[in-house]
Amino acid sequence: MSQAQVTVPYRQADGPQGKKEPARMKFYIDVKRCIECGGCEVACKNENNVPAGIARIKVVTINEGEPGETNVAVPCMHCSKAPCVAVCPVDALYHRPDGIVALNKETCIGCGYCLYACPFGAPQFPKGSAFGARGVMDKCTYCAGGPEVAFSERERRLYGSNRIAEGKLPACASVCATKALIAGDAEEVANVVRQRMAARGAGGGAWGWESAYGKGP
Amino acid sequence: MESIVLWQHKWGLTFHIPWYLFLGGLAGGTMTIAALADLLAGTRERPQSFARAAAYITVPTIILGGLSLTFHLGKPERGFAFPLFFTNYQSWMTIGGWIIGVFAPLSLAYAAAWYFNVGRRVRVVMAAVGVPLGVLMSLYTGFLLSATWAVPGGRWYVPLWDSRYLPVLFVLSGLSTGLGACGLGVLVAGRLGRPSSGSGTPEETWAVARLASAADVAAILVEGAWVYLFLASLGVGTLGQQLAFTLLTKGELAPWFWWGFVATGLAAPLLGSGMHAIGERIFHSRLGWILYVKFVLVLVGGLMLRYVIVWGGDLKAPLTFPPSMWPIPGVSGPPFPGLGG
Repeated sequence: MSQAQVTVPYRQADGPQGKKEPARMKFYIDVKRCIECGGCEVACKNENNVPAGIARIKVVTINEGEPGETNVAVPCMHCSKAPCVAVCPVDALYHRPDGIVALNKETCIGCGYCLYACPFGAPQFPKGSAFGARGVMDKCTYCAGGPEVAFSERERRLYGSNRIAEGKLPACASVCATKALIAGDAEEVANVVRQRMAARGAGGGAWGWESAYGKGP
Repeated sequence: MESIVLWQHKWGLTFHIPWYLFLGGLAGGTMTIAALADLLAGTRERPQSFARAAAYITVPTIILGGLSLTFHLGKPERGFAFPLFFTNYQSWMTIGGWIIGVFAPLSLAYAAAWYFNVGRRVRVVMAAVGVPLGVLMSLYTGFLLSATWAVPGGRWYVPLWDSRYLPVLFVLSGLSTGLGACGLGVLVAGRLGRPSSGSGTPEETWAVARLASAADVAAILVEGAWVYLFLASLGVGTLGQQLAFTLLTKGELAPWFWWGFVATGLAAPLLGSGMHAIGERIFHSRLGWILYVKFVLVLVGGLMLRYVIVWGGDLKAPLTFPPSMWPIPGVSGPPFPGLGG
């Protein structure tokens, strides 16, 4: 397999050393804004030619039809301390310099260990062959393709599109009509979150690792 | 925001993982038993026969377990070449790959040493390595699961897979099922006319089987006590652990846990041993069928324990706001088992 140089977005401002620093790409999911249109799911499937039965992002509805009904889009959260990366025996899951948890399907052995470790249900296992055998893992790539040469036919077939190398944001966030799902550099995303929180006050509906599990040790 | 349980149906009725955990634990148990008996018995004939039977049983068990582990992979060919592919030494699967990689050849060599009557000195060296390696083998099957209980920087994702209890439980279960397998192996070998006991007389075969049965009673009692501690800890633990406790004792898995494991693997074998001891005195007969049934029940119970634990892994720690790719019981799916929806 040809290991290509990954194209990583950089922050505009120089870092403390006077050097350009890679961005830290994050998703932000605003449960107060999600209207369950399913646009992110469709955009993801369309952009990445996702196999049947696989949902790299899914809108989950809580308390449907009841007071307090809430929707949340759940892709891979690209955790900083990713449990899937910790347990993967073959290092098929790894952090790119921009923080995206990337997957190498050439290395994955399809053991399913990541599925047990992930708290968000991100790892997916398409049927690999006859007799219902499991294939290798598939998950949200943050529309950043894989370790292959960017825009190659092989990358397209294995991982889908590589919008990050094109300088674009993931398809799901790009199409989100209400900007409930925001993607980008953590600093920029944090600014948006800060503005929204300031406008709404406490409990503004941000959802992520800490609201799910509390602050890590 | 309220806490809602994340319930993921993963492998359903797949047999590879529970069978692998069972066979891996069993192989670790039989190897430990064989090596311990060999080391502690000196040249006494009865424990030596026992050690030989245990050594023979280890080989097919670890081979079947290893195949089961490898063929559950999406890419089994990469599993066979694990030294090349398994590069993350933080992962228990990588550590386990190496444990099996050392354990399997050693168990084969140890059984061969018995078969070809290699000198005791060589065998003792192998047995000295075999004791810790056998324990490590059973222990690792527990760590393999419980590594996802609390990964670095995170919280408890699979509350049932408590790393304080599960590895030791699998070691104890490996020993009890290992003793059951040894007892059964000795009886079957004796019946087929290939007794593992030195003198080969039926009396000697029964004596070795009784030895296995008596040791198994002790192992089952310790295992039962550990299960009690495990349950008690779950019952007073975090919300996730309490849910796991409910799932195991009153929920969807309760019949499998109580009947499949506790009754079949712990209570019935103890009852069988009691009946056998009393029956022998009253009827002055061997009542061999009771021992056969007891050993089989111990093995079935050990397998059911692995099934229950793996199925219980479907329960994730409650999220404050749960994402799920699957229906959430009580929310968008069937009610959470045992909690009345």
